[in-house]
Amino acid sequence: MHMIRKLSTIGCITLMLAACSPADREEEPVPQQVRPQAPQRPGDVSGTQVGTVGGKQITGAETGQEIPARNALGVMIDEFGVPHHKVFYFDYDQASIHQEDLDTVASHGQYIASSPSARVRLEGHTDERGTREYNVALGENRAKAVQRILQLQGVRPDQVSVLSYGEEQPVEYGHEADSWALNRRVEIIYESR
Amino acid sequence: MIEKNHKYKPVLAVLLWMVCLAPGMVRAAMEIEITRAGLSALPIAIVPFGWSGTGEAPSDIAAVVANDLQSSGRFRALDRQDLVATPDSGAEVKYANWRLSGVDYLLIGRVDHVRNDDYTIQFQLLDVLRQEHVTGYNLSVRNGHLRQAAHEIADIVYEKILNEKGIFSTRIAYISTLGQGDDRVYRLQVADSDGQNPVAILTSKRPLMSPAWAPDARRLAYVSFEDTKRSAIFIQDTRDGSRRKLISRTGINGAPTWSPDGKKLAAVLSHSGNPEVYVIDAETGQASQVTNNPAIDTEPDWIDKNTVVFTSDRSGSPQLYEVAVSGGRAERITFEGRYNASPSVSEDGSTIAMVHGEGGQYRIAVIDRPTGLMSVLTEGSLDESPSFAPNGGMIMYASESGGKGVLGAVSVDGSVKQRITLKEGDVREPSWSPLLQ
Repeated sequence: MHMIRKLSTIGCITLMLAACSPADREEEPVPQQVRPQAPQRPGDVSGTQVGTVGGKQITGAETGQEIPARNALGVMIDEFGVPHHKVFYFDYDQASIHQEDLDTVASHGQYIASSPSARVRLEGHTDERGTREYNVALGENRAKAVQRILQLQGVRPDQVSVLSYGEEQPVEYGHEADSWALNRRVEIIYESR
Repeated sequence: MIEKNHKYKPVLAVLLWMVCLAPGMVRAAMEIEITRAGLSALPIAIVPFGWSGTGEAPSDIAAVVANDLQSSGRFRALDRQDLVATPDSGAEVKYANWRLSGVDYLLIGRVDHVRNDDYTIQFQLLDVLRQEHVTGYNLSVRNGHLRQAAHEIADIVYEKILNEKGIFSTRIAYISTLGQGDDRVYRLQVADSDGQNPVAILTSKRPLMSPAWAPDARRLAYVSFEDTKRSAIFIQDTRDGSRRKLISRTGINGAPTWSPDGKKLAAVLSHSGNPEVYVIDAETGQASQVTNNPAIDTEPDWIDKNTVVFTSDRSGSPQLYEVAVSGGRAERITFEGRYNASPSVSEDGSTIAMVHGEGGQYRIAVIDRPTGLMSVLTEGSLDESPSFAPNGGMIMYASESGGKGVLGAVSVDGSVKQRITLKEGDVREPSWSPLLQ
């Protein structure tokens, strides 16, 4: 308990820093160097360091702020055990999941496998470079890379569907590297839990 | 040479004049701009057509004809300010003066208001060097069809002089989008070949993709994501608006193109686990598999009734391959550059246009099938979706300009480029119709 309290205090400080100083937060070193284009977005809490709390939901006593819980793999989860992170980014013209996302994707798989009613749709996207129909195929390959990891965790085929939009549904509309990095993604959409 | 240059430099001015000073005839929100003019083009004088009727002429026929002919790269229209006279009948023509102007051909005509919505257009094409009449017609035209008549005149001039079919009466289909995020609206549009008179034949809050004309120049196949769980290929009649779902299987339903006889479509399905090229019966939806490879196989187009060209990354990066629709071994046909995709085949099967990516730039290139020689035609950085005109002389494509999606057309020798910018929203994925029957 003492340990958990200490961690939660550190967590609160980090959260407060993050909240007070968005500019500093942007300059925070990215914890994993292999993730140069995993971007910070509003609502994206990946940069917040809170430590592992053994899968329990912890509330920071000092501020009343909720500290995200983590599962055994160290992946942040909500009160149902579903990982927070539902969007995964890819390198240009590649369909390989980044090493540092593997635990999070596997955790989705563990949750879905443990919840017979859970249904997810994996939506694959690309950036605008390259041809549109080729990008539909590339987006599908990305979604299928996620699908394979889910199935390795015991997810049934009927629990997962795949839909690729290629470059048709960008989240960012710029024609430069930062926008492209945010558009090369797979989104895990929970149709039911 | 310098003098010749002077004559076609103000092409843009002529076109802007057409767009700005004739608002009655321009209903569309498109702007046409010729970004590069042809050097080896035939000089022609196109005299503003005479007009008898009350008020202003309802349409500047000569301007539409001039724009059409110049966009092909095969003609260079004399600037209006350089016209030595403005005859509207053959009897008034003094050939010697036109010869001094350096033109080989002269087009003159007039528009008469008959009654209510009825007009007649008379025109004559004259050979300045031979000092003789080449052809001439009297057309009866209803108001609202005057631009269409102008395109037909351009087709007649083109064919009479060059002995090849003109394509100015054809249409283009394309996708436009307006807004971003949840407000985004996708439209499947059909417009004249110069981008005028666009009509949205389908509007959707969800993505629409890959329009493709049937050989009848009437039906369009396209991909729709209107079902949130699965894409589908639809076939829609552009005249009566009716449509039906051709196929919607698990996975990809994409990249449709019509067989030369209009009875089948090549398309991409991935229900077997991997994107493969299929041939689908246009009536029954029955699909037979053409390719079988663990790589991405997509974007088929027909070379002839037995063969398709498609994009595959089986060699590690996207390249073009040919394969018999009955299946069998695919032959790679592109070897220059890391990214060659999205083929469009000319009507005679001799030339294939594609997206050619090199050093982060995506441009339109063509490959001559007999020799395998490739040439890059455009200079954009995100050019895509090439589509051949039915006479094989021009290629329409999508480009990015000022952060917006625009359409461009380039003559197949690369000499003339034309840009069509929709004032609102982004446009892309043009498909050039076959000749109207």
